[in-house]
Amino acid sequence: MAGVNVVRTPELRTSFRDPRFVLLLIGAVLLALYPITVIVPAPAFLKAFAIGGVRPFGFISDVWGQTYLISLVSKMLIFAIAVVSLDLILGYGGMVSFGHAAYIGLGAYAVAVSSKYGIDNGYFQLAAAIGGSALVALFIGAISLRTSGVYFIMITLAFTQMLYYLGISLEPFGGDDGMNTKRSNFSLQSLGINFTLNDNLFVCEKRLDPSCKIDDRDGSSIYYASYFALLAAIWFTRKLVHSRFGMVIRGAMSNPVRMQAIGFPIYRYRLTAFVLAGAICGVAGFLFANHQQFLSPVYMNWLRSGEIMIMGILGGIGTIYGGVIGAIGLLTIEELLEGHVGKDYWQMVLGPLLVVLVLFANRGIFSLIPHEMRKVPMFIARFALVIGGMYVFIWLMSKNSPILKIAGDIPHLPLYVIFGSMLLALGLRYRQDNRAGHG
Amino acid sequence: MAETILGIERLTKRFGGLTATNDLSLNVEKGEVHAIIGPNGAGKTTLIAQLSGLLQPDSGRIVFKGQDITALSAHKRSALGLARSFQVTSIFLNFTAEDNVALAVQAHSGHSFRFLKSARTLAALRTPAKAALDQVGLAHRANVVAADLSHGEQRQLEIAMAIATSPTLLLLDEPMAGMGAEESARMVDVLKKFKGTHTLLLIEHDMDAVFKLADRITVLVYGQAIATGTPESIRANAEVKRAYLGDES
Repeated sequence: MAGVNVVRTPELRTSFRDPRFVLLLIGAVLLALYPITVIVPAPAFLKAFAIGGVRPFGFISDVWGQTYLISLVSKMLIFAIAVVSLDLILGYGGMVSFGHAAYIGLGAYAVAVSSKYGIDNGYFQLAAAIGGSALVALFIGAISLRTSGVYFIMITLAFTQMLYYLGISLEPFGGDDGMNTKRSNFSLQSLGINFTLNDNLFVCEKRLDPSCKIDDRDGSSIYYASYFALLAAIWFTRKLVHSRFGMVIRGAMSNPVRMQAIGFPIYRYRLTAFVLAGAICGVAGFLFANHQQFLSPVYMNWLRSGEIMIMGILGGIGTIYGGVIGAIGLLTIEELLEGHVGKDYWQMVLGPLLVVLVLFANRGIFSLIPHEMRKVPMFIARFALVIGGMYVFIWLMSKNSPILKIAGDIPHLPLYVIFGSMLLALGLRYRQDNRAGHG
Repeated sequence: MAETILGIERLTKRFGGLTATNDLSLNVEKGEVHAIIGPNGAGKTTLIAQLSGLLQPDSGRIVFKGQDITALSAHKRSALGLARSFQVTSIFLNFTAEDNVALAVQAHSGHSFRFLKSARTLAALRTPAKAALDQVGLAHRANVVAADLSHGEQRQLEIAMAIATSPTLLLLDEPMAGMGAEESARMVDVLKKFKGTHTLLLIEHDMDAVFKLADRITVLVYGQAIATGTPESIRANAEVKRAYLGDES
């Protein structure tokens, strides 16, 4: 019976005895403080502390105060918003939308189009991003939600690709090439508020202010805008899924026939959830255009939709916080791979890594985090092992891999290693399943 | 003459060449337990699907509380007070027992476009849900995830969800399906409690249960009602014996 698929992970408690809550709190605080590392020098012991030539805290001093990393983390936070919004309909409504990137694109177009016509007002742009995404979601949802299953996936995908090709054909807004766009201005002269998403909060630029001591761009206003938007999205989505409305869409995912029999017109509830998710994702698009200072129809490509979905699945569907972990995790891995393996075939290394991750964390990373304090040490040990394993794997795949030194220049070597390791992972998984079956 | 809650008038439903419901007329009166029995393939499940609005009849009328509901959708009939339980257990497996019933209560307490307040803390939903669980004897299992309940308990939960909406008429589609003797006896006890206070239309295979519970019985064979009457008169009816028991042997 369907009972085997039921997730029995206890819900997150807002208590310091729930490790998941503690972890999320630590994460939130670290993210809130991160841009400040630009003006606070790294503690000397991080760099100096070494055991036998290995600097265990070295990576912290490496990322300390790097402005380009602040920009990267902003991107992670923006994607986390998109994943959280997808999780609302995918994880709680059972609506597998393969076109969620459409709303990132729409949010971005709202910024770029109004900016092109000289409207930099952020309030207007944000309203346009939310309203536009909601309207399009209403249209797409009204049609798509009449289907279900594979057809729903296909039809949402089709609509998004239509928008993508529409974007390509819109020559006034850059067409295929995209176009540059200015960052939104949230200043309100009458109230004396002077704030744009282009502001630096912790550093200043010599170009604008000759008395500057640290000449840099920290991009902290877009960072904090994304950070607080993410907190708001999480807060709203959490409230939503526990409300009456949330119970209805969750019930409709679990058993739609029964929902109708007890008297719910589920179509309109699902449609509302679809529109809300689109609107939240529109905010992500608004932020993304501001972050990139660029508009491209590629934001709406189906690959982007797939990427958002992978982030969600990786972190854990139906958990909300899992989406955040997935977005940060996937973009971190991508960044590491691109740096260590090289631009040419880092995606080929990413593939098997994802396969392994999904095999071992088949309900997402968030579900692996223990919900009792006594299991935390074991979890940390395992987590370190996985991270270590992944790092070794990336190292073996990289340009200075010892395999290449020993084996010389064997053609297609990375391919053999990749498929070999996939077979190994499958074998391990098979053993794990067999043991679980006997236990 | 008691008040008629549900009137089925000359109902017909065909699937290609098969006539699943054949010119069927039937009245369910207020406060009675009306059982529909019949051998496999007699059209019992087709009938209940038409009554609850999942299937549209080809001809005939369904009148509920004096209103023609033949064309109404499932959720509108439910809103009028026609509740049903399912032959195959149809509950929300990843919700707790209490969440299941609370959702049924919620369906009948206004619209659910309420986005921020937690549904789990609303006394308006939780109090009736607890009461319904108590009525079917599941109060002690309220916080258990439905998937972890035994089959019999899941069936009881099914009934709790149906009565939580205080329906005028309760359609029970084989509530004893797949139950052992002990579970079945417990279910009969649960349903007996509703006698007199609720109107039940019961479709059931378990003859023991039907004769213990029903005030009136209708025997359905090939989509037609061949007899309607008290349990005693049905037991004595020669045509029923031939059509029904004859098929079984």
